[in-house]
Parts: sequence; structure tokens; C-alpha cells
Amino acid sequence: MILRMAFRNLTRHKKRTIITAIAISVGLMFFIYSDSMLVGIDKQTVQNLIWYETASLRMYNSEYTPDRQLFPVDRPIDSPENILEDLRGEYDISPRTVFLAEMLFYEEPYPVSGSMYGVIHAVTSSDDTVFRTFNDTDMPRQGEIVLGGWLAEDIRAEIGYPLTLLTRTRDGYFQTIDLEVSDIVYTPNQVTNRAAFMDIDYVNEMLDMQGAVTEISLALPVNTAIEDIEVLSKTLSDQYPQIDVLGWRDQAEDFIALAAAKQSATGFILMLVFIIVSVGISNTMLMAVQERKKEIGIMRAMGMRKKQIWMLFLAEAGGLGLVGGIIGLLFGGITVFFLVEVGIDYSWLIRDIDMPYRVTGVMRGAWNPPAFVNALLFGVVVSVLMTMLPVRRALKPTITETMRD
Amino acid sequence: MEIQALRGVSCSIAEGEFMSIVGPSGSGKSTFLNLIGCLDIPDEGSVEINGVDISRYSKSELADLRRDSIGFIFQSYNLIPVLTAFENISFPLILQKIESNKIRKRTNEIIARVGLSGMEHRIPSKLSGGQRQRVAIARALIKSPEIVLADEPTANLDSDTGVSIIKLMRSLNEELNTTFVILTHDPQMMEHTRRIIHLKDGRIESETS
Repeated sequence: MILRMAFRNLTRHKKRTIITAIAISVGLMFFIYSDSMLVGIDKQTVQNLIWYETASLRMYNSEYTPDRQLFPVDRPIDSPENILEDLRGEYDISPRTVFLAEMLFYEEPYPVSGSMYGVIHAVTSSDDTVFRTFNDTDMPRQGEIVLGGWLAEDIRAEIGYPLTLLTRTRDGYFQTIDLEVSDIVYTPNQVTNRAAFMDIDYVNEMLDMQGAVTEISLALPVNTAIEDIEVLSKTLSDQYPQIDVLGWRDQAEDFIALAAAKQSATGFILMLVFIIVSVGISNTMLMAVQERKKEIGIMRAMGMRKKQIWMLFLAEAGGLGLVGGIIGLLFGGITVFFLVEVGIDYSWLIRDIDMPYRVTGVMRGAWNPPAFVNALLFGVVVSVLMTMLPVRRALKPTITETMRD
Repeated sequence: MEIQALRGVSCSIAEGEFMSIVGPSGSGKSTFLNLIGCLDIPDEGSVEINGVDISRYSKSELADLRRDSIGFIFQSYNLIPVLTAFENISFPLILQKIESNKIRKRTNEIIARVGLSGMEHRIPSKLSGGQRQRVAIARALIKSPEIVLADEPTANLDSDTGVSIIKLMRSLNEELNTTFVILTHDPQMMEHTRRIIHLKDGRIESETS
């Protein structure tokens, strides 16, 4: 009977119920949308980090590690073939030499129209399988350089343009390398899009690396658990004492810091949703309780216990939260479907700011079923909570006082 | 400021009585009804029902007493708007947690008795004033209470409907031997009651039988 009464009370003021349910649903839809976007960007970022930038694990000379952001070529991994031979066959593994260079570029062949510093990745044409950068692009050969798409745009370079690098060899001598832009590569990772790529054998010769490389990257499936990566990292560190082995999380400190900060962002979004839902529900339930004070008095006079009246109003509030929640899930589902299938193109925003997310174009959401469950529970629980105060207040006066109001 | 709604009132009501309480506004009629309906507890003195002082009861015991032994009829009917006539009438039995088939049987009987057959599935807003008051009477009587307290039951009704309601209450009183205590200003109602208590300024001014 109580549930039937609660249901009928909800349909008693249909417009009010619908408006409140929609207010709740909008709040929950916003929560589901935000969650999907954040989870989706995280997934995309992790994938794009591993596929284009950090690999799953990376090995450095332990003297190189502290200064790895400066790409010091004088502290490389000597004789990398020993490691490569040990691990090849067991893992997908790629050596690279990464160095800094001043790039002199030309809009027309002459004169020089500008220069900028850039990060050059020397890659091996036969062994760069850890990364997907060159899936659709030819690898650079001797005397060639492949530019990341954003770098090419910044220096207005086109295929066939000349480009000169000013850098230092392993021993610190200045070196000038004249190159021709052989291709321009676009990836979903902005770090890669701002880099340039050369042939590792040519770089070995030009920088007098004596066969050394600055890093060896190792690929594991993208969804490999962090714990498994850490275990392998430890095993390899023990196996090669002079080598540091860093997982992708250790390398992507900026993203990890952002992910941690995002927890508070999620809290903020929940707070917003809480405000939207509570304002909607408290207003409605306050009115519902206020205008039915006399009814409450009558029910009490007839012998209905306070507990039963509590149940009646909480069932109403819960029902309202449930209706709003279900509509919210429906709206949320539609928005998530759009985010997953179509996505939103934020490239105009990301292009000019330094975002720790590694997503360059269309950002896609992800299905996250726990968020749907949480949204529904949140809607119902907040609705019930926000109803408690007005009901408590309405049940405080004596029956005769309540019936007089 | 302390206001004494009733002072020195002493009366006893016997089982099966059909009596009215009359008096001007502010005479203490409603307070009197609230006290014998266990809606209020007296600050001083005592109210005894079946020889037990109600001030000894806890709030939940008082709620049970109202639920099981006291029926209320109000001037403005005070039906639950979302429930049908049938559901409003059966509501007290649901509170008593009686089996549903017994509730259905008893409700149908009383609906027929108060002349509401065919209207049981209407909600209060689809009933006339007289029909609503019949629902209220049926609701008050369905649980076979020991006493029914009626607060101006004919005040919102036209004269003919008022008379039919009075006759209904009177006949139910005679049939079921249920005690009726009625607050009223209605001379027609007073004509039908066997005992009239006149209240003024919180005191019993006179009593006629």
C-alpha cells in the first residue's frame, strides 16, 4: 500500500515530477558524460603513450636516466646487441638514439628562414616494431629526415625541403648534418608529432656513437597490468646491473600527475551533480511535504506510525530518483554512444597548448558500466537524503498542530 | 502566555452513546475532541478510555489505540486524495495488517452499507461532498471502533445531504452500538443526538438529554 501510495503521489503532480526527474537526469547525464570522456581520454592516452612514445618498458644507461629529459648522447647503452640478442624473440624490442639538435630550415632553398631546437629520434628501419609511428610512412634512409606533422607545420616544411641539423657528437664535437625532408608523419601523439626521425645507422655514423644507442624499448600488450610491468622491470634491472628499466608510468610523469589531479576533478563533477540533483529533489520534496502536512496529520491520527510515513516519503523520493536516474542513464547512454562512436575533435584546442594527454585529434569516450551503476545509486541516494530533512520537520509537531496547518 | 482551553471539565461517555458537543468558537470543543481521540494529552487531569489513563500510554501505544479503537470523521472529509474510495475505506484495516481477502469482504460490505456501491473505484476528487463524507464515515467505521469522533461532519454539506449523513450515522450507531461523539453547530444534528454537552470558555455550561 505504501509503495502504491508513493507511486500515485508521484503521478499526482505529473509536471512537477517530470521536471524534477529531468533535472536529476541532466545532472546524472553530465556525470556519465564526464566520466566516459575522462576514462576514454585516459585509455587513448595510455595506448598512444605506449604505441608512439614510451613503449611498455624502456631501458637506459643508469647514468643517462637522471638527465633523460636532456637527451645526453654521451651516456648511451654501449654494445646494445647483447641485450637485443637476449630479449629478441621473447619480446618485441627496438633500439633508438634520441638527441637534441638545432634545426635550420628553409622555406625556399636559400636563405635560411629560421631555426628551432627539436628532438630527433634515430630509428632502425628493420627494428622499430615496438612503435606504430611508421605503420603508414616510409622509414627515413641515409641523408633523409621524417618530420612529425606539427613540427612540419611549425617550420612550414614540405617533402623535399632541405633541413640542416646542428648538434654534437657523442664526444661533444659540433656536427652539422644536411638532410632532405623525405616524409611527414602524423600520429595521435603530440610528442611524436613535434619530433623528427632519422635512420639509426646514419646517426650512429654522424654522431660517432660507436654502435651505442640511448634507449631500448620493449613492447607488451597495451592492457598488461602495471604490476606485471613492474615485475618485468625488476627482473630486467637485476639481469642488467648498469641499466635502468622504466615502465611507461615512470616515463609519463606529466600524465600520471594529471591523472592524480583528475581525481579531484571527478570529485568536483560529482559535487556539481550533487548540487543539481539536490536542488531539484529538495525543492520538489519540500513542496510535496509542505502541501501534504495536513494529510500527514490525518494519517497519523488514523494510527499510521511515523516509521510508515517516513517510508512513504522516502519511497516517493527514491522513486523520483529512480525515474530521474533511469532517464539520466538513457541520456547518458546516448551521449556515451556518441562519444565512443564519433568522439569530439579537440585538436584546435590541443594543438597550441601543452597538454599531458596524448590525444591529438578526436577524443573518444569509453563505456564504463560502474559509472552508470554509480549514477543510478547516486540519484536515488541523494533523492532520499534530501527528503529526510523536510519529512523530519513535518513529523516533529504534534498531530493536532500538523492538522491545524 | 498560557491559555487554558478546557477547565474543570468532567464527563463520562458510555458505550453506544450518540452525543454532540456544541459551543461557540474557542469554547474548547476541538481540544475536548483531541483529548478523547488521543491526539493530545492533557497537561492536568486525566482522560480514561476503558478505565485506563491515556497519559500512561507511549506515543506508539497511543497510535495503536487510535488505529484500533477510534474512528475519525472530519468536516473537510480529509480523504487521501491518491487513493480510491475503496482504498480510503480499507486503509485502517491495512494499517492493522489484516488479511487482504478479509479486507476486501469487509470493505465491500461497508461500501454497500453507506450507499457507495458502484463508486468504489473513484478517487475523492471525482465524488460529491456527500459521497466523500460517506467514504469518511465508512473509513471511520470499517475497523469497528469503540468510538467515532466526528468534527462538524455536516458543515460542508447542503441540508438534504447533511440529513442523509446524520441518518446514516444514527442508524450505524444503533446497528453496531458504536459510540459517536459529534462536534457540531448544526441544529439538525443536535436534534438527532440523545445527549448534548454545551461548552463555553472551556467549561461545561450545560448538558441536555
